Amino acid sequence: MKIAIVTDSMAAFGGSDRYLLSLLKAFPESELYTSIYDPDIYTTCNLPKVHSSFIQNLPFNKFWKRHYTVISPMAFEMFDFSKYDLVISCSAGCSKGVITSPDTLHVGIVFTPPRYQWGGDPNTKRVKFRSIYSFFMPLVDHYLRIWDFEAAKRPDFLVSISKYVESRVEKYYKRDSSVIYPGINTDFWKPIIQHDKENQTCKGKEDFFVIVSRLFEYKRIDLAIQACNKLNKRLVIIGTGPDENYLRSIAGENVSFLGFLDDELVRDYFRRAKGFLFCGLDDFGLTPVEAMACGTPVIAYNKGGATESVVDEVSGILFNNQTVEDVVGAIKNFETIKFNSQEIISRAHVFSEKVFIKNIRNYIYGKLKKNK
Amino acid sequence: MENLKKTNSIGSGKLNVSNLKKLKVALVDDFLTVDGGAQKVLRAMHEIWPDAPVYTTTYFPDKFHPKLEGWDIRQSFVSKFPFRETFENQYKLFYQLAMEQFKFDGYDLVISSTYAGYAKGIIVPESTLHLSYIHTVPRYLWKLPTQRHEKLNPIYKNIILPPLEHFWRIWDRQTADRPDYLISNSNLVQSRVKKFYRRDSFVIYPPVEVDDLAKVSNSKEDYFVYFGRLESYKKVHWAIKACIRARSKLKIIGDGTYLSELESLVTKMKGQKYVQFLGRTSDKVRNDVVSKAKAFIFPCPTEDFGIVPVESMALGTPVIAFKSGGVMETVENGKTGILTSDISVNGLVEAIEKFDADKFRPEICRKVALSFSKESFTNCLLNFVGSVYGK
Repeated sequence: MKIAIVTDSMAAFGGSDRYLLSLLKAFPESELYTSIYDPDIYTTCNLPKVHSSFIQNLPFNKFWKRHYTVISPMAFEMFDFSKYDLVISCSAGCSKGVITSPDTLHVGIVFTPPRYQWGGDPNTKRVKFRSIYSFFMPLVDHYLRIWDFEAAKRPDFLVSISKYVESRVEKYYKRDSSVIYPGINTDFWKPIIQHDKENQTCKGKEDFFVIVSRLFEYKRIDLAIQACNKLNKRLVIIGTGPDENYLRSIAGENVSFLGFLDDELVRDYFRRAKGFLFCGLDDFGLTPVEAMACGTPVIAYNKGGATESVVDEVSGILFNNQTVEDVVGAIKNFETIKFNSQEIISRAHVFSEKVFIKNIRNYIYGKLKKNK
Repeated sequence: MENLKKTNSIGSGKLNVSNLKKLKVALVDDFLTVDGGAQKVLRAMHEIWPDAPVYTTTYFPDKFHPKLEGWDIRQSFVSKFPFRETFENQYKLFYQLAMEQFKFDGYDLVISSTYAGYAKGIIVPESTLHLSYIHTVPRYLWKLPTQRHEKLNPIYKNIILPPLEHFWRIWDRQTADRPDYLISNSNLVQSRVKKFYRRDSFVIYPPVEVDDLAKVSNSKEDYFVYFGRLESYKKVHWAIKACIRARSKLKIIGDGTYLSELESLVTKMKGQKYVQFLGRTSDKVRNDVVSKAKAFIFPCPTEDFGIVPVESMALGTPVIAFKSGGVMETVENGKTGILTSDISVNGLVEAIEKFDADKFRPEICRKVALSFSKESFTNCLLNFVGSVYGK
């Protein structure tokens, strides 16, 4: 059986690439298709053959890559999948718009309907030339929105990565989808020492909170910083992004920025932190699950994918409004609760990569049988 | 076959046939610039409603044989453009717009007949029922094998066309939502309508003129036959190679751009004693030759429906073809022909050698062909209209 996996772009490593690597474990014989491919980023990933679109050959592709979004619908429509039995598109953008024949099964995995077109991620506040963008973007988004709705008709079946995304797919695309959660590698994300059976807590916990995130506005790291400032709690922030200077400017002495760290160091902080803060609205959120797998409870906004992984007062605390007061209240509440680390870890194991691989394989092979 | 029965049994049928024929009806066709298979369907529908006006983008009367005598044909603004025959292809840019300009106030029923995607894009008042008969989805838009791009200038093909097709694709999918019901001309097209338009449709097979082909011969002679246009995509060269290799006689009726290449192939393979070209013949001669043949070899694996295999069956001659495309719906494997799944010359050779004329009865072939008759088409269509009208 010939299988193709299509992704939006492969020019910066992000959450979608982690998903892609899990998917390749489920379908190792696949070939990859994408709009732009930067092999330097994926040297350690041992990828199969990658086909890139005509955009790859356009000039200045690294600088212009964000702007080439405007022509990527066409790039995906130009791919030919007539020789494939199965095409899996993984999209938060245009890749679901590929064209396949009735003989080819196309399963579209939706990370989210694109945030630029359907709201939820106004990532544009701190970019340069804001006034130029704010003039042209509504026009570009208008066109992309029309096309995106058409593209969402093209997969034979849609898979959402969370119930939250399922509801957005229903709202904007008017299509049903099945929910299959992504998974984390639980062999890697685990506590360092056997937890203390008598006290049901992990040893080696220290008195600080941790955030692991790209520093984007919609991640609402500002709320966490302000709340920790108010309560004078230590907060460690791992990650980089366009909002870094602004966030540093509002942070007190209690907050430290560590920049980008590799997974082993991140795991070390997860293991030592007493809590993980997640104040943004996210489609699923892999990092809260990784933190839980290390035995660390999570304080999260009670909306979006995190509400599906974090169980209130069992594996963390959920707060209802994105305000400093609510985060302060959640932290105070958090400190009064004695969490059972075994329960936290077993909650995380519901979202393990092994479970994901089993679920996605069962789902797709089931659909393939019907398609024949 | 199953689908024919399905369409026969749907709905309650509030109106009887004579009332259905009294409805105020308009027909719509993409463009009347060729007289092909789709226009046979249009003629059959016009026979049901002879007073119905036909709306179309542009109409070249000279192309129609027999002429569309007494038809009320209403053309769009594109027909007023200068040099419309020379720039026919360029003017297609305006066809989508042209279709959207037609007004259908006062009609009870509008049936659009579409093969290039335009006619389904009409806009009808809310009280008018709009059915669309889909001959095919536009193959070039949906990446189905097509000849259209073979001869194009690479600059046009790779730089100018992709953005145009990108927008046409949006329009094509979106306008497929406009008709109240879609009718596909075969199960194959139905599956494409489902895939590309994400809509369900009913299947009504197009009419084949089987009445004129009443000749059934029980005195079969020892040769195979092919008839139809001789074009490269029809893969007639496969039939020639297979017959020479199987040392069987093949008679070829018809004309086309590929004829000279086929003739030189036969010379090259030294197969003159097996393969005979009869060229264009009168219908009478053709019917005679086909009805006396052991079997009709249909080597084209990509035909969406394929009228000639049905015509051959109407003449009492079974069909040898590939298990691919429209013949899978028209030919009953083992009963009215042999369908081989090995799509190659080898597959044909094997089928020819395996073919046993005694196993096939001309009357049964004819009977199966009759289910694709014009009468059957008319009944299915009226039945369908009756079941959905006024719902």
